[in-house]
Amino acid sequence: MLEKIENVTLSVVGMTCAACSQRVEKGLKRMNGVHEANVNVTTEKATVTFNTEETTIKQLTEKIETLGYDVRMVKADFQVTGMTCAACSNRVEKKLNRLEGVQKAAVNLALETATVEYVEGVISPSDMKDAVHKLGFGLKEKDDSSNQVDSKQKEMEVQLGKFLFAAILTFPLFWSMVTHFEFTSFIWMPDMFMNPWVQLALATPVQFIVGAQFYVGAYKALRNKSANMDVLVALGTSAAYFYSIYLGIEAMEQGIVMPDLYFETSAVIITLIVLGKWFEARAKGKTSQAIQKLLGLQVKTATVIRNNEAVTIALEEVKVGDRLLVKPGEKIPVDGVILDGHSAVDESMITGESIPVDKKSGDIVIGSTMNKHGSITMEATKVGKDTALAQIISIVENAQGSKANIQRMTDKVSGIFVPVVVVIAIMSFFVWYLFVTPGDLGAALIPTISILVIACPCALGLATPTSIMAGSGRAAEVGLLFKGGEHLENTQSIQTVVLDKTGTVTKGEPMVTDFVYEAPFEKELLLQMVSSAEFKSEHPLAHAIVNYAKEEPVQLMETEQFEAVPGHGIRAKVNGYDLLIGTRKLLDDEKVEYNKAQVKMTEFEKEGKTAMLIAVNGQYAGLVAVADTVKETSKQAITRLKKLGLEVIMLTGDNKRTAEAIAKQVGIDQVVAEVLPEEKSAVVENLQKEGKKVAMVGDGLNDAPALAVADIGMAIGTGTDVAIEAADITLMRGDLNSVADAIIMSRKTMINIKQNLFFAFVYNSLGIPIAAVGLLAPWVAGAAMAFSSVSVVLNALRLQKTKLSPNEMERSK
Amino acid sequence: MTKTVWKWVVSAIAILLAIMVIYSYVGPEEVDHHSDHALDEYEKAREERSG
Repeated sequence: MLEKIENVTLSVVGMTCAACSQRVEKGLKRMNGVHEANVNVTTEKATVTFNTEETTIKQLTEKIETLGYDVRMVKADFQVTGMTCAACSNRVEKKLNRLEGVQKAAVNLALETATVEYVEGVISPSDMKDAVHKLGFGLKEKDDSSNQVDSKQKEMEVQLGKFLFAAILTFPLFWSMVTHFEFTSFIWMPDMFMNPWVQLALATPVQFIVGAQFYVGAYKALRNKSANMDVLVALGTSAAYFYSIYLGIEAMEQGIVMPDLYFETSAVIITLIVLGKWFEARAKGKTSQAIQKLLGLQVKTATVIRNNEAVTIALEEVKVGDRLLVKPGEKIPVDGVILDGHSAVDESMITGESIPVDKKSGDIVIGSTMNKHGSITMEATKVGKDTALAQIISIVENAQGSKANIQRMTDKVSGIFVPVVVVIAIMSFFVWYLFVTPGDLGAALIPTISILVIACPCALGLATPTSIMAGSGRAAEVGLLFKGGEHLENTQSIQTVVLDKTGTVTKGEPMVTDFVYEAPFEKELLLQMVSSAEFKSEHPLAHAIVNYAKEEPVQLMETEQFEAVPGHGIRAKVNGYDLLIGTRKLLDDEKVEYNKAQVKMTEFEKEGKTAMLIAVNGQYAGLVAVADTVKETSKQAITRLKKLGLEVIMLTGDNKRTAEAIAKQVGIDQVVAEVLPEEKSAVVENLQKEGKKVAMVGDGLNDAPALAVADIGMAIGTGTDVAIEAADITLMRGDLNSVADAIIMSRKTMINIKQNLFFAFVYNSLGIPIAAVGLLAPWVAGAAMAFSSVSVVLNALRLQKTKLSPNEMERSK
Repeated sequence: MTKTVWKWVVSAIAILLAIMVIYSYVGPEEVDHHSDHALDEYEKAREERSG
């Protein structure tokens, strides 16, 4: 039986550290039918691959809920049209409730509204619209503002409110603590704040209202037999709080007016951790700026031409085949082809290329790019999820949510960290209570609380994902799309870059430079036959010949037979003549003699031109020379790659002379020429056998196997979909500078991750012994813990300012 | 500051004021720092606290 495998991404709420994400991941993986689960604490996303016959999305969400977390639901209100009676509303409601991903749907007939609670990422409003539309009703969103952004904003406001609440009530406690020290004893303080009852009244709301989130988190974790940072915070602050109550009662019994209490310890720790969480949430929000910027590029409306009239409609209503009008200064709504008009289009938002591109009738335009000058009429070819922008957003989201190998290691470490810390804290308590300060519970408790607080592995859990998010987001801004965190990680170790020639180093748009014909053939007839045969071919060289023929102009004839001989040329029958057009090998195989052409052919090849022999009815008839021009930026990019210490190799199916001429122009020393498409991957494999880490850069269908085999495959974004599919990185700019940029971005991201991990590890491993010997006050431990998380996120944010392309570097100077 | 944030701030100030008002009615009498006895008590307590 064929398994129905599906991939779903769920937004998980309530995870605070790597231990939480580990737990959700393990829990999901244990479910029947779940093949793979990947949970990221930073993006709060769980990506699950599962068999739909064994489990459902509902079961997955239920599992996450039993593990103590929630799946973020989006609540959306819709306007329903076309309902006339209760039966209609029932039908709509039932239909919506049956859709996969919809948790709850309620339809109100009187108000003609539907309120739907659904799992984000599983179903979209447009899916619901389609389903309701099939029933014969209409569904329209009432409010198109992003629910997710709102809920995150709200969450941040609550954290800020909690911090200010805690800070106001903690201040008097902190004040009383400050006056404890010898050197600060001169500070005046009202006696009221030294009163144990007042301290209890101040600390209690902080402990149980603001601190409730830690208790809830700890309870959920412990219920699932695991531990996270909430457990440590709850344990540490509760110990201080309840011990203070105990001391207060004891003091009252003994008649002591101002006993030594620790209420300020628990309150200050909670206040600082909440402050840290607020900072962290703000900084984390900034790491996803790239996605928000991309989402912001989308236009809301489009002008459609219907019955010769321009009508403005919502973007979601644009369909493939619609004729759209785009005026100067407007954004192009969806991907399409220009039917009429010409203009310069600024594609910098997609490709990172700042110079506007000239577009004329027949050219492809990308949605969300800016039409600068002329008014154009275009036909929509891709809408909704299929547009380039939607796909870019999806690639960036996937990359940001995926895990680098280094992260899997740190996740494991932080997963076992908490139980180990609790054991260390307990041991420290007994050592202090039994040996250091025998019988003094308070003195033994202080280092224990400090250990519990300083050892929170928050910084460790945040170190890698925040850098990956910031790094891949910054890369996307300059047109580099990493398909996963692991690719961002692996690119830095590349030693050899193999470049495909046509379309990568060169523009890939060859033009006919010379057409030689041999008597008794006439130029016009020969060109007519050759161009008619080449018309059937998809090869760029064939296009060059056809374009040349059009310019001459000659009339095309009917081609009776056509056969492409990969890597060598074509065989065809035109107007009763047998034609061979291609390499020496093609003519050798057919035993056609072409000695007359040798001198001219060699001459062309020395000039870097590709010369193709023409034979008619087994007789040499002429020679056509085609040259591809080198991209303006190729030379500069190759110099940059060499400066990065990389070995650069050019790979091509062209003959050696042509390849070498091109290589010389751009400064490449090593060339592998005359390679058949199927041999390209073998060349890459041979380099790998030599122990080299190889990156392959290509654009064509024939590069796809080599792109897949290479350690890192980079596809030029202007290339074929197959190449982009096979590659690990898509370079949206056609410019080779992107290769150097990708390597620089990867190196910088990895350095950033290592800095974060070093900081987090050093911080925890130094903090614990310092706390254990009693040199760290608990409130200082709280402040340090909050600072560690914030500093890790801020360090990751530096990646957003990375200067990449030479233009940018120039500007920054 | 948004409404949500203000709600938290106002609640905290209200709790603080309530504690102060209640303390002023039911709390012990203010320690008279000018009386020698009270001052001794106060200093003693402070020394105890600072260890």
